[in-house]
Amino acid sequence: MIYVTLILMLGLMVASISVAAVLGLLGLALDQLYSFFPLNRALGELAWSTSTESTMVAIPLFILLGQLMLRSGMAADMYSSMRSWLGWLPGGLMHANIGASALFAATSGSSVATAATLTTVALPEAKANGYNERLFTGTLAAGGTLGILIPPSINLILYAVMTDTSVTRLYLSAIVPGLIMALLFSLTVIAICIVRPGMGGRRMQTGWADRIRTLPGLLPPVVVFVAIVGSIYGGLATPTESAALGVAVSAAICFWRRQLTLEIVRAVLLSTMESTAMIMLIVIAASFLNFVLSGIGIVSEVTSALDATGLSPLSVMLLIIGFYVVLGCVMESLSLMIATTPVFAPVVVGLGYDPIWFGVLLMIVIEMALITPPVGMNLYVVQGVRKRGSIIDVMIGCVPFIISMFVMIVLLLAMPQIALLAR
Amino acid sequence: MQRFVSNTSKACALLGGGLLLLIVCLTVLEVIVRRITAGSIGPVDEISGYLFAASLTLSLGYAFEQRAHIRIDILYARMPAAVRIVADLVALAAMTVFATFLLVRVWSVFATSLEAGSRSNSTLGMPLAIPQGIWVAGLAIFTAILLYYVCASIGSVATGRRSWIAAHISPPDTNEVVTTEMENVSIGKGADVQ
Repeated sequence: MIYVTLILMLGLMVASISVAAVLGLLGLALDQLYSFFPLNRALGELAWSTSTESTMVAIPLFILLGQLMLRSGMAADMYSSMRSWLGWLPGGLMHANIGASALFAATSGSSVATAATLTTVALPEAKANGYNERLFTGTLAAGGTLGILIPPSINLILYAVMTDTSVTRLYLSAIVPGLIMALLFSLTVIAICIVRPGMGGRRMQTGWADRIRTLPGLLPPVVVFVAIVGSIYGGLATPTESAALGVAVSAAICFWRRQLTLEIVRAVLLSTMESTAMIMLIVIAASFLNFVLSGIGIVSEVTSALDATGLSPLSVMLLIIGFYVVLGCVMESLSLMIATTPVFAPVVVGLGYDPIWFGVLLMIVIEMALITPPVGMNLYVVQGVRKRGSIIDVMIGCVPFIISMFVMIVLLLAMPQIALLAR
Repeated sequence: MQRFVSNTSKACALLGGGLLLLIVCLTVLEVIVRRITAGSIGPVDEISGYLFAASLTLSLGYAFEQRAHIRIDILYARMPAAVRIVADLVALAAMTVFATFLLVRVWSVFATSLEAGSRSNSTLGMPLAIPQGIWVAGLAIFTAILLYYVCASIGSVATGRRSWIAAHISPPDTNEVVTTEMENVSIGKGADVQ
């Protein structure tokens, strides 16, 4: 049964059928094959409860927020501020790339958008200052992945709904690992640039005058982040409410920067609804599949199959991580997460791991999926903006950061507390 | 016909976007009122859920027209053109079958609520047939749009217009994805960036 499910799912997906349709039809097929009574009768009710789930409402709101921030035209100002604050480190602008990605991630739940925006701003400077373009583009692709780890993260909301965990706790738990991840990226750049000084480009001279002058550039993302996380942390608002507050604040920022024209609002709404509809159709299909999978007992079958191997929980965890790393190379990351979480999360919890901790770990393996070839969306986004040379450069540039992600995974395994601070 | 379908799906998505803005306004108002008066303007949570459900089904057709429904193209990208057309048609058919099945099931939820006059189990006591009706309508429009594309695809294959399929059904390649992504970005005046 496990194999039939896996083969059907992968087969249909590789045949390039829309992921939502694959999950939905797989649910129908498994129901026909293995269930004693027709589980598909529940599809309508499941679709309704998923569509009206109030936690889910946060998803379009955070997408809208990210879109508004993209349109606000704050990226360039933010980047030049980051440059004057971090440019003195060995590796110069590459730290600005990572820092700006982390900050941008704090206002946007999308890794692709983060990578696209920052590449546009930063890349022209790579050549002008003699950076090694491989490593430089690597920082942009890898930095962009922070978007799904640092709150507000759309992937974390989906994880929360699928595993019935608290978005609030997930968000608060992901902040520290997100910062550590950014720090690890920076340390990687420093280490490489100390060993091979040629990769770091021309050293920049920045002074305090510059830093103070450009400081207002950091204000918009910081204000939005504080509005969101502050209102959640202060108990003022639920994650969904904080998303609405974030939208209001970012709309105000756009208005203040004279970017809130009717035309922009129209475009922003359309692209928000496009992403929302795409994600929610997958989520609806997945919730049905999830229902069928538990109805026909797949989860318990996976658990007992793992029990039968006699492996320790740590070995099983390593197997699961390996599974994600391999599948992450060939699958689109959002679909990968939605399709697998309902099966793995209960297994992992059964092994005695904390679901919040696993959520954070999952974000890191999913981040890795965004920069591992052949299918890594961020690689293509960075290369697409770069428009010259070969994508192989970006792939090679990402290798050091894939290694630092593995280091992060080891850290999480060795010290689970870092992802469990929000108790 | 094509233009009519595109305009309809876009108008529905904009309507969905409008509902989303309504959610934002209601929620922000609720948070402020709660903070100031410790009271509440009403069950905003519940209403947001209904508005969200409607906005999402209304936007499904637009997402389809934008070719946003994710397809894994690792193999697709390596297929010869003729096989791609087959893959596109199969994918379209699969989506249509799933949407139709979903519509049938969802319709029965709506019909049951309408018949029984069900109300939500809350202080609002919303007659469920109203939000579910809009929600089902969105899904019906989506299914109709898919059916239109099924017919149009068959027609274009029959008349040998393969480029139509590539433009409307095929998943966008990465260059197209990047281009759309960039249209959404305004990086700013760039005065400080060399």
